[in-house]
Amino acid sequence: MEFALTAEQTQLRDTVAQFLESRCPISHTREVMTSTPGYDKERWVNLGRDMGLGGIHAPTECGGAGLSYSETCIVLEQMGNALYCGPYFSSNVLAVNALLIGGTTESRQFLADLVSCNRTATIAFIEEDALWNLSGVQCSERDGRINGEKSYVFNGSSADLILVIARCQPEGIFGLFALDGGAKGLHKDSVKSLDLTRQLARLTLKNADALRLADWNEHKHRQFLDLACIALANEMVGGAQRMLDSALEYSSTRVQFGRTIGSLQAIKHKCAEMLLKIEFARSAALCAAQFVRDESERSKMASMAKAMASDAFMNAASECIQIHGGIGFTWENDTHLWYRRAKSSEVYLGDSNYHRENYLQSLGL
Amino acid sequence: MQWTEARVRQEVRTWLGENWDPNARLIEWRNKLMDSGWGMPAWPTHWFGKDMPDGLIPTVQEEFARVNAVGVARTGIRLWAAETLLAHGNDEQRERFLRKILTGEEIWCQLFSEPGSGSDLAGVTTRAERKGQEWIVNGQKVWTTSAHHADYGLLLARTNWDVPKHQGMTYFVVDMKQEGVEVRPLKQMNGHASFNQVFFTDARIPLNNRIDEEGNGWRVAMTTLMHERRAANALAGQSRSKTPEGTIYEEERCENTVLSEPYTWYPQRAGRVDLAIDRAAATKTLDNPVVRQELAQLLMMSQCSEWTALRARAAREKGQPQGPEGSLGKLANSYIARQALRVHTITTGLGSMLEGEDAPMEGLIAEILLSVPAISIAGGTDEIQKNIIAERVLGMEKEPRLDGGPFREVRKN
Ligand SMILES: Cc1cc2nc3c(=O)[nH]c(=O)nc-3n(C[C@H](O)[C@H](O)[C@H](O)COP(=O)(O)OP(=O)(O)OC[C@H]3O[C@@H](n4cnc5c(N)ncnc54)[C@H](O)[C@@H]3O)c2cc1C
Repeated sequence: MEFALTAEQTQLRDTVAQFLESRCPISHTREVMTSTPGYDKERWVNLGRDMGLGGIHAPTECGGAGLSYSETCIVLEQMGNALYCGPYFSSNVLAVNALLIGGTTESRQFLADLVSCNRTATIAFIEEDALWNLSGVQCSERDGRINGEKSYVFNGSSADLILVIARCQPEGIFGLFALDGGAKGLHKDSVKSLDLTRQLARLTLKNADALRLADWNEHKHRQFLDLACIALANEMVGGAQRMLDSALEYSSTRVQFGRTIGSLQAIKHKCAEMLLKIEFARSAALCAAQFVRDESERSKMASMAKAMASDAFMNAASECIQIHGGIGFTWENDTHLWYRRAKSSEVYLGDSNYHRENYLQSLGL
Repeated sequence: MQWTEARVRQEVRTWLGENWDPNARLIEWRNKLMDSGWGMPAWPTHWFGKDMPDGLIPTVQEEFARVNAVGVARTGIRLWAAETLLAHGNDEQRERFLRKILTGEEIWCQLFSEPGSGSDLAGVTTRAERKGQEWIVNGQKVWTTSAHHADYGLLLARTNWDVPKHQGMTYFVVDMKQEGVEVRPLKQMNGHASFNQVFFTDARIPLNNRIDEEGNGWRVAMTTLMHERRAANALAGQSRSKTPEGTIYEEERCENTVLSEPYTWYPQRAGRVDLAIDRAAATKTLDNPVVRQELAQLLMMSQCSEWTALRARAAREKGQPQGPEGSLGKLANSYIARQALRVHTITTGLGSMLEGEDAPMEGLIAEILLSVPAISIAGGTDEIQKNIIAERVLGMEKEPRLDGGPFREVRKN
């Protein structure tokens, strides 16, 4: 395992950080998050196409950069830090992962379009009775048409291409399907999301035309979810770090009792504890990214990363508000935007209780 | 010639191949380590070392562990005592003391804390006065681990009361086996008595036992504490699961039962994470969802802490600037120990009400429950660690102080 970034990885991190800082500052995010489609398409194309980040771990023959998942995670950490608002996570990570895991020529045919940011994609896999496994999936396909409902679909209203997991009838096995964003029979309801920088949709499919890309099963689904957890954990570590940095910055300027609040121990100790939790989560997230090809360890590492990062980010965001005092509770102050991201990421893909349990089970206990 | 990992591995293998003998005498072997430089390879070549970069030391340790070779003596404060003397001692002092600290022949203790000054170490009031060709010491130290065995002590004493507190201290090596030094053991809450009160009544220190300049005691003490903290940050050494055959191991075990007696409970104060899973299985609590949550949390924290230490090491090896991950080990250990204590409590249940031979694991669990509180106090409390992390790592403003001016006038206990 590698415990330090290579020179190339450091450079990648810094380049992405610089771009996000200058081109996607939080003022910009505030503007685009309330627009339709809820993000700035040009910036997303800048990142994905111009900077070559559209398919970092996708193989070069599909137009990807052919790097490892660690590089993808490094980019996501910076996006979490900057609270990047765009379809990168849904399209260039989740959808790309699903297509790669699908593994067929049919599924791969879409990769080039996603990697080059010609189209945005998302994946619809959550249902009311099917959170993190397939057994409760109700969505079903017969003769190329899907019926059912999917919830919590990232950027579902704006995506050009929608990947759907559904039960194939009459066989009863599962499949990965592709739908055009404008397909007949597909109803997209934008739902108001707590995280203002991540659009959510509920999809209703009534005889919607779909193309079957690949077989799907619990094993592939597990792999998909593990990769998603690892990606999200890295993004969360970036967000948590931003919360600590913001708390440090504010506490070095705010004066009460004739001294900066940063010189008060109650504040210092909060920050030291935030740091400890963040560094633990960073270790877990950084290491987990290196286990994506290791079938025997991957789930365990993914659960550890997700659990540690969920708790670290939520803690950092709450404490950051506390350290800002009254200002921290205003709409005007940016902290709540990260707090919203922290809360929604905390439960997405399973909360820390769920993943601690998963972790023990992966240990065989 | 430059050290590289490959070269280190090859040289240490060759050397161990030619020299390591599990039936050697312990002290003889350790002298060989000192003479060859393989005992303290990061040290300078002319002082028992090999001028090796820190990053390569783990490679040496791995090779030693591979053949179960015994290393230099490490119990207690030896390593940071030795580092302090190497850094601040003069050649005569290094010549006189370093070897026997590391062969284990002489025992050392750290005379820093006093009844009136613990966290605020710069507030020491034990007084050293120069009289002719000696220093005369009067005062009291406390919580001094191993003072009852020690041959020598690292003493921080006040030599000037008219300057600000940090400037009036001097660092000495004091002979513990003399008339003016009285050691009284203190019984701890866990029943052991590893620390002591130490009373100095006209105790004598020869002039050449002053370490560094008069008034420089604080700087020297900082070196000691830095190495102590670094030791707490380092990965816990692999303990041998079962002792291999050979007379040297018997001698080592002997050393452990006598000289290491004050430290037998130290693994328990770190929480014994290694026992957690087996205990949950043995107590049939593995299907209790609360136990499962707390156990998973413990195992993850422990794994993340290890990785965080490895990240610090990797950054060092790559010559990258030290990040915050290198300063968290001591605090992390406290959190892990407390989480382990939680797990042991809920798995053991009512058995946690018992102590001694009839208690679970012949009292080992009780010893964990009663020893963990020490880890967040000894070697600098958690609160002090957090202050240090906040001020030095996170760059937060220092607290305003009320203890400036001549020490004589500063408010004390
Ligand atoms: C098992 C054990 C072994 C030890 N061995 C040795 C030894 O060999 N040699 C030696 O010299 N000492 C030794 N010590 C002493 C140890 O270093 C001190 O106990 C420790 O530094 C705390 O000092 P104190 O006990 O005086 O507590 P105090 O300093 O009085 O602290 C009391 C409380 O106040 C808090 N506090 C104090 N100052 C601050 C601050 N600035 N900010 C926030 N909170 C603060 C502390 O965190 C603590 O909670 C040992 C202690 C233990 C428990």
